[in-house]
Amino acid sequence: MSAFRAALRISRRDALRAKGRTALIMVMIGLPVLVITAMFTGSATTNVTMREKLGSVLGAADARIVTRPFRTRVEQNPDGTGIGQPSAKRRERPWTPGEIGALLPGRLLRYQANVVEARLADGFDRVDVMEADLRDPMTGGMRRLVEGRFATAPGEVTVSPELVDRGVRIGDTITVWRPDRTVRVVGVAEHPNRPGVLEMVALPEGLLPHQNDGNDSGWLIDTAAPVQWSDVRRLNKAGLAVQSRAVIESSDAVSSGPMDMHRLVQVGVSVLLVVTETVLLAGPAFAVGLRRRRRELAVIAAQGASARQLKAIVLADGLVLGGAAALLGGRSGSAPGC
Amino acid sequence: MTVVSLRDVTREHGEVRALGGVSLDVSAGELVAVMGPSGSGKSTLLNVAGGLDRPTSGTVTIEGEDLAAVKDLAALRRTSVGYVFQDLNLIPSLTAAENVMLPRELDGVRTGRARDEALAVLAEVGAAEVADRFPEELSGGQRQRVAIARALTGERRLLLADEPTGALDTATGDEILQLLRTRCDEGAAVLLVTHEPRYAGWADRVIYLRDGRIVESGAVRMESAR
Repeated sequence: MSAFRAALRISRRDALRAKGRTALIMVMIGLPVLVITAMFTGSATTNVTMREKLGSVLGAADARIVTRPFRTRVEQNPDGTGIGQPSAKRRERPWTPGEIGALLPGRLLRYQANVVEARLADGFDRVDVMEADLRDPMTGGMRRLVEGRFATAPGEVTVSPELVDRGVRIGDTITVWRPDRTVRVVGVAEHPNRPGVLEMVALPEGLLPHQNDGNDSGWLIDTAAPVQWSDVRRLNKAGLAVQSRAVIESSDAVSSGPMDMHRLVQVGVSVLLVVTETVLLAGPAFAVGLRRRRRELAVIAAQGASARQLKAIVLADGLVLGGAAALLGGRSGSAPGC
Repeated sequence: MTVVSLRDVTREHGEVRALGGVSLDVSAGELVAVMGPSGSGKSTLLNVAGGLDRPTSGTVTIEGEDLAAVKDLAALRRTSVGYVFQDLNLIPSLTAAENVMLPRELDGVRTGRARDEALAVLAEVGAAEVADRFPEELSGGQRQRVAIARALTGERRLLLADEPTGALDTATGDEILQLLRTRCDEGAAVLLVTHEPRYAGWADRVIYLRDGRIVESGAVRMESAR
């Protein structure tokens, strides 16, 4: 133990003495670690999982029913992503609330969403539009009212704080292009997990024209019992995609299919890249250090160091420099996430 | 008491015979000087005598142990043999005291105790005041004192010195030789390789090597040469 302590002492002092070499190795090891950590941190903090998004997507509803252009069987992941549907020869007539109610009894609330061009103080910009009656308790948690009130009539909108930063005020009118309309701002509402989004929220068809099936429209549904995976499959069969709170909240139980494999491969590849990159970059730096230290190692050997102890001294070098660099890289990489 | 004993030792590097049948005993309290021209096998003799190198044939015995039977030569060096070279003896990144501690720490002695021992030995060789300085802050003579202290730390009684005064001026060289002589008189066995006949004068015995063989061995103590 004291031999290893001596080895660590030699490495530490050498690292302080040869500052240029130390800095080089630290950068070579620390930089890839920093980049990968930063990437992972970024992905972990900006990629919101469907479970984290539940509130903004479903509000307090039990499920969201997403209509599709056809009525052929829908394939989807349990979280409602990865929706696929074979196309039919012709488009079906639009779904009606009555038809939905027959398939899944419950109270329905219409929603639709799109992107429009809006004229702001500094020119036209693309603005998300979400349409749902936010006064309805079923939408609780979808958006947080910051100021003013929710839209109560067609032609009224709430705007996201980002739009306020862009010069929009309550009482202003905004000119929208495609559809060509003018809407009045009655409040400020915040998206719970998209902080920088440019968004307006209106009543259904209060800004957008009626959107046909398959055009990001559908219903939120409040059912008596939680919507189970079997219900989802049943609705899929009828040609509807479903995001169910109960299924998403227990999505650990149901495999989310190809996404997991994809993620695993991603992680594997990045680990491989970090290791390879570090070995390729830092290996030569350590090799140069070793050659430089040959004489020193010979002196230590003459003082009675065994081959194992000499290896420990070289290893301590890697431990001190690699450890410090990895720690530093990891910390600076994850700092923005804290 | 014989500390190191060589019997008919040969060492061949391929075709080259560095040592050809050397027999030599060094006892406790004895300072043996090895002289001879370059390439005569002086350094090889020192390496074989200290277990840094194994002989091609013949036997080397250190404190009664036949090196051929010793598996862990490194452990033997840690406990029985100290080396002092011409220069660059010390690890530049360690202080004088830490350099002296090193063989003891490698042997598993706890840091605190190793440091106490090191400070004691440094005081014995007259280098106590430089204990916390780094080698580059020391003079040549001070560095050799520290190296000698390190060679003697623990229970080590065999000190192998390869031109320890080679990089020093005459006065400092004399001081180092004086120190070796003192350590010797206190019970260490010293095998000293030197070019300088004047330093051989401090020895109890001088052996001359040529082409790997002892050509002359004289138990002369040349008091006048000092």
